[in-house]
Amino acid sequence: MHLPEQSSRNVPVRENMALQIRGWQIERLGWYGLLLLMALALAGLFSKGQLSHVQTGEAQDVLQVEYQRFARNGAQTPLKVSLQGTPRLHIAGELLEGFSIESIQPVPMRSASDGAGGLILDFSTQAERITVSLRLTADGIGAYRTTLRAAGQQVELNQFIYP
Amino acid sequence: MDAVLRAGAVYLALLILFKLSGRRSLAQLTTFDFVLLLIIGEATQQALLGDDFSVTNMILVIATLIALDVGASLLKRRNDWLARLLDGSPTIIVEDGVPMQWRMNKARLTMDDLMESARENGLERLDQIRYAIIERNGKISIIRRSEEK
Repeated sequence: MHLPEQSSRNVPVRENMALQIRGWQIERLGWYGLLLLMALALAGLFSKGQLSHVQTGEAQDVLQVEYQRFARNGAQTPLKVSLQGTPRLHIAGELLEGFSIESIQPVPMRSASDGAGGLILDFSTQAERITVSLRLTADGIGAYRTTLRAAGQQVELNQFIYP
Repeated sequence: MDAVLRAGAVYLALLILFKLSGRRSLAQLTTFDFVLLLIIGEATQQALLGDDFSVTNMILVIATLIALDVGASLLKRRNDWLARLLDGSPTIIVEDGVPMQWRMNKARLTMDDLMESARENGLERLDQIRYAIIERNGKISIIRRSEEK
């Protein structure tokens, strides 16, 4: 005597079951979307994870760099540079546009502009290998390309900052 | 400029996320749901304000949120389809004392949820219910059978 559950009633309220069923389907799809989002976040698509972490250079190279490919506006992101046999690091490109440098450890003896929006850092040291930690805060949005140079070797950094 | 963009993005993101959680979720607030809601508010707050805690920013953000909300309600008044999409529509789950299990499954409601609402309305048995309807806000309305003496 009753209509099937899937069909719309008009009494006591006017239903639109087709739309309601579509709504439930979208809801269910959305849950998988949420799970996917979580999985991607765990994998590091939104910074800090396997997909985001980049390490370049071999142990014997002049320049070794460790950084996060993905950063988030307003959040801090580390940049680790290891120099071998040279005290001078040249940061060229868009790094300073997208990030502000919170601190550099060890503090460079001299820090100068390269005249093209980049930085030249001089570290005084007797050590064969210097490891420099830069703490950056992302304050831009979008893609930024940076080139790090030391003693003729260079490394390209491609970073993306999420809003 | 970014205050308006932030508020707009947060409004849209929350609209979608809460739509996905279904209408049942926050209407029948348990203590845990309430705590969850507070945490969600906490997580939202930073993204909404950024690092600008000025009164101006606060006014801009709130003005944008209210404007969007009023705008959405005006749009819903004009467009029935949009209203049903955003607010949903009432769904009957009990008809003449017979529960509609398929619909209850889809809406993630259990028999306990249904009987709880029935008891709140002073009914104790399923056959005393003429209609039970999930309203747009997630509440279950009960209409009792008239032949009850």
